[in-house]
Amino acid sequence: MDFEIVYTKGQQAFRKEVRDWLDKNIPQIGELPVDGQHITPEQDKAARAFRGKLGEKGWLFPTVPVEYGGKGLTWEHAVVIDEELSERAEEIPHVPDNSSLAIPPLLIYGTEEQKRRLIPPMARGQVTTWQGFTEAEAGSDLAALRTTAIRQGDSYVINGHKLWQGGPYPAENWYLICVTNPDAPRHHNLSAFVLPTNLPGISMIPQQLFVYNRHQVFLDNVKVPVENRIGEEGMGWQCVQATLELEHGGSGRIGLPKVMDHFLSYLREAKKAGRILDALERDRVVDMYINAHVERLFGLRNYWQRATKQWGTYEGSQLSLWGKVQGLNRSKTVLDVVGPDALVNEEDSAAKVRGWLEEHQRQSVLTHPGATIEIQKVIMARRIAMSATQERAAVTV
Amino acid sequence: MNLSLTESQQLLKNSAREFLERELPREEVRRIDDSPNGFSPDLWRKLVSLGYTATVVPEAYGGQRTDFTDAAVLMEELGRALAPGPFFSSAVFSALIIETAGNENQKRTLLPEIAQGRRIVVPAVTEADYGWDPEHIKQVTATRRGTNWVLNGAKFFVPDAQLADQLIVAARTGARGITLFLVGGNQTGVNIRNISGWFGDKLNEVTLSKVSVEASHVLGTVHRGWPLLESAMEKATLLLCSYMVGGTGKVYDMTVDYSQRRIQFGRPIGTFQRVQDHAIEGLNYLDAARWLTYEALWKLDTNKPAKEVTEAVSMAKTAASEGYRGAAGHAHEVHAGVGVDKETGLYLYTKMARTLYHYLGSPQQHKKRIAELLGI
Ligand SMILES: Cc1cc2nc3c(=O)[nH]c(=O)nc-3n(C[C@H](O)[C@H](O)[C@H](O)COP(=O)(O)OP(=O)(O)OC[C@H]3O[C@@H](n4cnc5c(N)ncnc54)[C@H](O)[C@@H]3O)c2cc1C
Repeated sequence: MDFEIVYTKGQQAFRKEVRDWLDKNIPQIGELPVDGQHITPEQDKAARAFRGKLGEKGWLFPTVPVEYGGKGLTWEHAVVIDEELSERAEEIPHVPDNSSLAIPPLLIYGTEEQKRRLIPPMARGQVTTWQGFTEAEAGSDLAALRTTAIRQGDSYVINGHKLWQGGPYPAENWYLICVTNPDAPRHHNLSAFVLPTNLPGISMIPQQLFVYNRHQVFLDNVKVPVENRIGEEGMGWQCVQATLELEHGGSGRIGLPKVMDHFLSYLREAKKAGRILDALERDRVVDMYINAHVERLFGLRNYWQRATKQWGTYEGSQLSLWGKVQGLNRSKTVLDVVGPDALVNEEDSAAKVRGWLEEHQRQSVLTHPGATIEIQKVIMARRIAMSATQERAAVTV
Repeated sequence: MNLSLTESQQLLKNSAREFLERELPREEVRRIDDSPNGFSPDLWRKLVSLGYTATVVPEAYGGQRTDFTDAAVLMEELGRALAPGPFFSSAVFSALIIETAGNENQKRTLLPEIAQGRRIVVPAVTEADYGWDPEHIKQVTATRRGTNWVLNGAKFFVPDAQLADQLIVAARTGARGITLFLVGGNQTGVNIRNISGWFGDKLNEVTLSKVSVEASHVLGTVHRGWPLLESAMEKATLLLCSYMVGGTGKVYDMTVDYSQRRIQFGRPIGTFQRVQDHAIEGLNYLDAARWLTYEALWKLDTNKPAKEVTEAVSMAKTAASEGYRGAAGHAHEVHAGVGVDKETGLYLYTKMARTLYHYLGSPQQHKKRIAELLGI
């Protein structure tokens, strides 16, 4: 076994290229807020511009083929970009974008023409994408969704309502799942679309959350050309699966959960100031540390599996489940060890480690996007052959 | 990066599993467990003839060591089959101590004998006031008498001592010094008493009264025994983790298998979400321990900086101890009454998980070490 990417000379040179490029291009827009919610419109604009440059370079989706707007790089090169970007993540404003979820179904089920038309704007960072899945009646039970897209000549006419879309600023592009055949059986009645969000009939209102805000979006007789349907009519569920396999953890990730660093910095500072952890506290902090490493290892395993196209079974959901549960455990440990200081946010001068611990208190509650803890377990049970429903990992890229 | 076993590791894994399923079925484990000295000469001969007892010993001393990950692949299978104690005590732990601490002459005499299974050597480290750090080595003392040493005191919770041709005794030789001694298992003044309890291996009290040891039987430098022992222990700990991961894997497999076969309310119990939760917890324990162990082995095999290896070992042992015990607990929930019946054999894992929980350092001790390394 080898847990390290052994970088060739070529990759080392490439890393330097990436670093130099980032030095030159990361926007100088002052210290970013801890809470993405507080990013100013100017910062958001700068972030999108940076993203555009990254996309132009082909480094936003480096493994996507050149003809579809990527760089066609091997994953060994892509990982260098991932590592360098994550190294500097706190300097680069986060731009909510689910293009990474829309590209795989297009690559698998899209026509050549669609791949050349629909992928490049995403891959080049010219647009951001919403994931239009959830509805009021369709949360965990996604297949119960009701938004309809009814074929009329060369178009579909869409009516319905989606929840939890995007971030504080609207996206330009939408990956949307609708019912195209109300009479077909469950899972066979759906189709997936990619469409612009500025079409007539689309309106939105913000959803105010205690984390990053989202939008509720209404579709009132929205007309979408047939060419924007991914794959055949009725293939929507397969598209969803290709997406969810990745969102549920199949894409893997690299590195330790970031709150760990902030918490350790806090503890080292506190120690200097004379705060000594008792044995119980110490054990809990180290438990948190070990479990963060387990999360890193599950993430690395999944990353490697995806890169080498070895689709496992339960591993994606295991990573997701572990991360969510450990997030909750971590927040309790932080709350116990730090006390009420853990709730002071970045706006207040008394905030410790810039308010990262407070941000984590809120984020950790957020176990629901990309399927709840219970649903991850439902999926795992199917894939370890316990459930009445049995399945392997979905087809994805 | 490559997270799969090599082809030869996969071959070793398969052949070890096949061999152990044939030669060490559940009934045989029970029989050995119930026997007074916990040993099967027949199984031992076979483990020797396959070269398994030579896995950790370097080639220069009659062994077949390649790297620790290879050895770990075998240990995982041995743990899955619950291969009894002297394998680890002698062919792993003692072999590593002697390799680390012994002089050339000791290595040449002892290691080939261990590799060929002709001699069983067992470390005797812990005492009634239990702990795997130098502060807990105080009851057994050694004092000089002429050119010899005289050992007194008692070691407690010593696995496999009942089988030992020789013991490696860690004794206090002064306020700041610990020295390692080779002591004959049948030597005058050595008394071995089996401790009665719910143990997976035979654990013993080893009493030493005026045991006289020649200077040539000191392992390593006088007063400097602890760092040598610790260095060997680090490697041994990882192989113990693999043994524990193997057992955890078996316990998890039993859980899923039983949940598919047991019908209640007209359906397999595995289709109930509450039952699934237990299996998933078991699987998470298993994978956490397995990946931490593999990564630590890789760090050891590729000579990563000492601190990094130490941290990785302590994380792995914590996860292996907590994982094995935890997964066995979830297995019992799913097996319910059947799991308590000795016939099922689940209890063999349950008690092994507890027996190894503190062995080579409890989770608490390892966490303390990690905290020190983190500077918190
Ligand atoms: C911050 C945020 C961002 C989001 N972003 C997006 C987005 O970008 N795009 C999008 O489409 N959606 C998004 N979502 C929606 C998210 O996917 C849903 O919230 C999630 O799938 C759960 O659905 P629900 O909230 O309706 O809960 P419900 O499905 O109503 O679940 C309620 C409870 O019932 C449990 N439950 C339900 N079914 C079962 C079952 N079979 N077995 C056991 N327990 C069960 C759940 O686990 C949960 O505990 C977002 C959500 C949040 C909170």
